[in-house]
Amino acid sequence: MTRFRPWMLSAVVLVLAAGAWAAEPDAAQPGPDKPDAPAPGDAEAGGLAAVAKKVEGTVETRPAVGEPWGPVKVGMKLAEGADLRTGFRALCLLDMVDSLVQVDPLTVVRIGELARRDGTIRTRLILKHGNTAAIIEKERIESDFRIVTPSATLSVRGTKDAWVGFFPDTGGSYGLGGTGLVGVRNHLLGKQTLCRPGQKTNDRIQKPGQLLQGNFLPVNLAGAGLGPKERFAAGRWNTSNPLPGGLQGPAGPPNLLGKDQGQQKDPLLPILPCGSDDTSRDENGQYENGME
Amino acid sequence: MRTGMLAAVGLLLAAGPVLAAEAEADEAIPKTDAQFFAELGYKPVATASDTARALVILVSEGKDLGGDYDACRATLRERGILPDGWLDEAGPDEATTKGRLARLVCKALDLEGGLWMRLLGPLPRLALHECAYLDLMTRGAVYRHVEGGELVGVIDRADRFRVKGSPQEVPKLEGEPSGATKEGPP
Repeated sequence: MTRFRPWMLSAVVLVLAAGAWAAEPDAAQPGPDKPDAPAPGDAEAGGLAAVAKKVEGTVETRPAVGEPWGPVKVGMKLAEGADLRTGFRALCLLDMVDSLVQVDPLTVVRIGELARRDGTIRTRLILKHGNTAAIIEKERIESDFRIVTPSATLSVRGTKDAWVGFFPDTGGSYGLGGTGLVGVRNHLLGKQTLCRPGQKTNDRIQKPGQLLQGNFLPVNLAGAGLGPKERFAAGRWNTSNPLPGGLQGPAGPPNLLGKDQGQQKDPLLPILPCGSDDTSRDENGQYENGME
Repeated sequence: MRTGMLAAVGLLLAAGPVLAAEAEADEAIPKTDAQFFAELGYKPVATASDTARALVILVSEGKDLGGDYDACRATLRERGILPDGWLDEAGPDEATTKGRLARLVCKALDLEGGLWMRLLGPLPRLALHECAYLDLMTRGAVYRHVEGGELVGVIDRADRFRVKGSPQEVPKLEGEPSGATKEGPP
């Protein structure tokens, strides 16, 4: 039998240490603070990009979902697909070639599209929550500019000071401070409203019954505590309210389509129809309780 | 002697990933106000911890980003917003309701309210009426949970109200996009 020697202990410890470093997943991942890492949100060469012209307070960006967030600096280029978020009393002014967009405090916005197609600059800003305002140039360049909120889309027909605000409790507010014309198309009704200078509109749709439910019905029916039928009923009647995060089951909160006007809670999950839940379907896509 | 030194070096190397893991655990707490509010917008329910931190940022006008739950409550207590009867005793994961949030907002903004609120103080129902009247919050049952995005909206409107006197203000932009100038990009 081999005798145990002290150098064996050292060798074992060194091998374990090397293994631990090798197993560290983030050791080689580029981060925003590392000087060699590419700046987050930088545009690829040749493509259109938004340029940050003014930055106040905490403004952060990431080039795509899953990438690390990093601070925005003046002159930084943001390509299509970049997300932008602003902090308290923070502000960012973006030059998007055909438009000048101001992202207000406490806003999360994504550059959904920014590309030239058939001579037209096509811009889509996806606003999760917060406020934005924009000046759009229509005289010298062909522009197709839209701001999309979870509940409506603002399209611009040559304008100055078009503004959009969206929060889940108040819904979307849209208006025009300067000259021109904007159209607001509601996603639920498909109806379009035009706003002329000085006018504003919103997309709050609430039936009288829903208003009474919101004010007077008990709403503490948590999705995780209900059966499939009850969950469907809660979704249909819009009386469910989720439990705090720590108490939720693996299914997560119920989809409150209607109450929060279709706002997607998790960017990685698809939007499900009202009251539906993937966990209540079997492998064939049928609901466990036989409901269609 | 050499073997002892080698073992010590090996132990130090082995401790590196452990320390890195602890640093990652710290990163679970939002570092910046932008991160805090963006992640809060995805939460289905705003907890007492979220509310305390958001209020600390509001009352300090963004200078204090808040720490853990106890530190936030201590800050609010110093500024006279606590005790309000709830946040003083609530656990960090307890859900915030509209009435409780309205009461805290009224205290944070020094809202006096109407006759009954002046006589009886910022009771949850009266406070919610006052906040709805000023367009800071939407109407609803006082016991209804506040969503994360709703709390972000309330903080946004409360700060606009405090600074500009109105939660709704039409922005005025100056300047031209680069495509509008002849020298700009194609």
